[in-house]
Amino acid sequence: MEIVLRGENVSKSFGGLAALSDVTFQIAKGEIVGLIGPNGAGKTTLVNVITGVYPASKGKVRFKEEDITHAKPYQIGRMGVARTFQIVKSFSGMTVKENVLIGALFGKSGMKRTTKEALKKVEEVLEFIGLEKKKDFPVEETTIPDRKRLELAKALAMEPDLLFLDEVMAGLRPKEMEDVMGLIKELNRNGITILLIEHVMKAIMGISDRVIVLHEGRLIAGGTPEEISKDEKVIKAYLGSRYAKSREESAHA
Amino acid sequence: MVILQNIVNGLLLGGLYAGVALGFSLVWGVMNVINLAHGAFIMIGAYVTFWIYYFFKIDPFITIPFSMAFTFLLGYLVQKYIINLVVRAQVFMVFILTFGIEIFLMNLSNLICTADFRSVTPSYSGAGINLGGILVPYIRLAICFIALFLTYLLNLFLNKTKTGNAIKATSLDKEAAQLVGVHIGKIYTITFALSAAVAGAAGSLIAIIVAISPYMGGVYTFKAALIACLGGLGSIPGVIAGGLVVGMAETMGSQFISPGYKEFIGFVLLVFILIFRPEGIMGKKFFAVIKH
Amino acid sequence: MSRIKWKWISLVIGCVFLIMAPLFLSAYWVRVLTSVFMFAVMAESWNILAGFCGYPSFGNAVFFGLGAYTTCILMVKLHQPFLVGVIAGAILCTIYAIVLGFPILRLKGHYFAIATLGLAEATKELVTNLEKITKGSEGISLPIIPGDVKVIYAAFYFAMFGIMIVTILFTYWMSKRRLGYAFQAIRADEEAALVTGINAAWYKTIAWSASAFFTGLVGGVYAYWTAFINPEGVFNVGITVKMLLMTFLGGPGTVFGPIVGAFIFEFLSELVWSHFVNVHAAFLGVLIVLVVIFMPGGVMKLMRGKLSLSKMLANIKENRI
Repeated sequence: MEIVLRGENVSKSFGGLAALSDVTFQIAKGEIVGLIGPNGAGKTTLVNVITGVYPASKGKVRFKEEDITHAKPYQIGRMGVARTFQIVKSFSGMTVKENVLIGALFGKSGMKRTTKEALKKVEEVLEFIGLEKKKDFPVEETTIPDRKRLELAKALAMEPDLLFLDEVMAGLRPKEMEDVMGLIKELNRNGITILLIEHVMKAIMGISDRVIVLHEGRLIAGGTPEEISKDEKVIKAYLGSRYAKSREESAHA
Repeated sequence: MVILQNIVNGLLLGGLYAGVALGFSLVWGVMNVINLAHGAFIMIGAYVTFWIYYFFKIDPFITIPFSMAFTFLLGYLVQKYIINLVVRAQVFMVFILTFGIEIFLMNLSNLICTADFRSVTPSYSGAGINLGGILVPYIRLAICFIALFLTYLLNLFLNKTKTGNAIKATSLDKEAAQLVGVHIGKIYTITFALSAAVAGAAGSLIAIIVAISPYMGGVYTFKAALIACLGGLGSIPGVIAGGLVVGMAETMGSQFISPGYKEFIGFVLLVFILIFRPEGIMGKKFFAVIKH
Repeated sequence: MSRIKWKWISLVIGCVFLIMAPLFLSAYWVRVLTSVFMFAVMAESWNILAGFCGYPSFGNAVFFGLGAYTTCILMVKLHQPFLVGVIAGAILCTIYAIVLGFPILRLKGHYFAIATLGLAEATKELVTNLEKITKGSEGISLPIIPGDVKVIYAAFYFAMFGIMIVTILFTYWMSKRRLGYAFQAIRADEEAALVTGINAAWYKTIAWSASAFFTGLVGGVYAYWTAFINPEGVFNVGITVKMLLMTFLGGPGTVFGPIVGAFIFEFLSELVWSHFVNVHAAFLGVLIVLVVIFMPGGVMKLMRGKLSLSKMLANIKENRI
């Protein structure tokens, strides 16, 4: 089993606030791992540290056994790590096609491609995502669901080996959610390892191979979706100790 | 001895510089507007003082309320009818707008007043107190005092009056202020007008010690930017601290390095601050978020 | 399709006209056009960093000055030929941009603008103080070129014209390739650009160096053209203002915007100047204010859609408080 991403005692503090403390984990190639935790647990911070947006205060991050703890974000992007942002960051002033083109020009094999070759890749991705009809729309004229797809398309155009999806399900209707879940599973079948940050339990439990749980900057649990949903620590973190206690009492009663 | 004299000079200059930067920092902190026309208001205040002195021979210090009133009105009109039209656009666009206003005011002033350097020289120009060998000119002392007094008054206004509190609220969180009934447009107008008034006062003070010209503003705008960044935006204690630092740096630099490198020192200082400690000396977080 | 064709046809016609112009235009107009070309180059190159990349430099006049001074010093003190002086000046400017880019390009938005403004002022001061080399505020004179005035003016006309064409070609070439897309991504969202694999620091440096190079080139040619330079004249913030204004007038982030802006502005200027001599400079300020309020996208953007008053008023509606 090849380990694609390894975090060793990753810690991040902002001034006095410890956003992450001793987070150690590993993600195997081909897995879909769900990352859950209450708001403020540090999920996005962890992704930011891994992708180099914030430097880690302590600890190491390894991508395919290469130390990327101090690597710059663009270097990490070119190595094959892509991510989406919770609040979509589309490139304004450009069309949908051009947005995806950026991903194709600068991602893993991007620097070796000519613009023409990159445009071919863009066509592929747009078709896969379902945005080809809108490819010449200026990005300001697209709807929010479309922009979320665009966010994903930009990441896919980078041909990542590892993909971080930050709350892609937020605000989607059940049917849309199912479509996205199907999309994610297909990407995984095509060989991309995926880390999914989510609040929508149905999505996480539905497609993750494994789930890890962050709470107040610490990793408090890890296991199959089934195991996690029954884990006392997790329940306590989400619902509070009083609820956990009352569950305990009713279980022993 | 020389050092002491320089320290005194630096501090006195610093007080004036705090007055120069005050309005600029306020406007930036409250409205996220970097007012490149700030120097123009300083210049206008200086000219008001000059012309009143020239025609009526009134002591320049007495002209200060007049120059403040004039620049207050001008600032009010500029904000209400020009800047408020674009203030919600990208910050950079507003920046350019104030640039345009500066160009216009400078050149208009050149048309009206001509480019000759003018001076205001009251009769007591050279006199001063002698503190054991250190000369403290009366004028410089008065200027420093007045500038700091204005700063104190503004601080009082911001903290003790309803409008002042509304201004502070706007600088901290515009949306929240709106929710409690603050009319942002009016606040912006008042803030800018106040800033212009203080700038006018600073200009009047400057006219007493330096020869003035229509193009003098730019240098002071840059100094104001430097001090505002040094001290932390919108922070009044920061403006005082920043002003003192710049006053000292300039005086010491002039004496011990060379008088010709003032801008250079200021520039290096500014870049340093912006890169390494953008919150400024006082360490307050920027109210202004940079949105492209 | 036909719209694009018209664009190219009018471009070709324009070029042919401009190339033939010295034959039938008066010396006055040849000089005016030479100045237009010069500012067009500066606006176009300012646009590379500001319009495409999103980093508005308020101190690009510094490269004009450095180019001018390098050319003068090399010609007067070291007796180098003109071409050597100009190229050396442009290279010096490029190096200046690369070196100073390290600290300054880390700043964003108006902090960057203020820092570049300070850079220009500081450099002007430096140049003024190095009196032994630069003759300080007195300025440097270059030898007048012997020969027929008309021919000489035409030579400078074509020099500036040539540089303008090169700058346009470079900008056009850049805009269609990876370089141009990198710039635009940085302007749109630098953080997103970084995680997508764009080495922003590297690309920003390229953008600023390119704008430094071209601006330095015309600075050098200018020095020989006017045969006299001084710090206040060549490090003048008014030059940067013009670059800015022309770019905004024509349309930032487009290939031809700054060029169009330069032509419009200079012709407007000539019109106003010849009738209202003293008002000229204040008029600049008014124009800036009007452009920002009514057409922040410039003429090019207006041309893309339909020209209408309601569009201009819509801008105010969106941006007022």
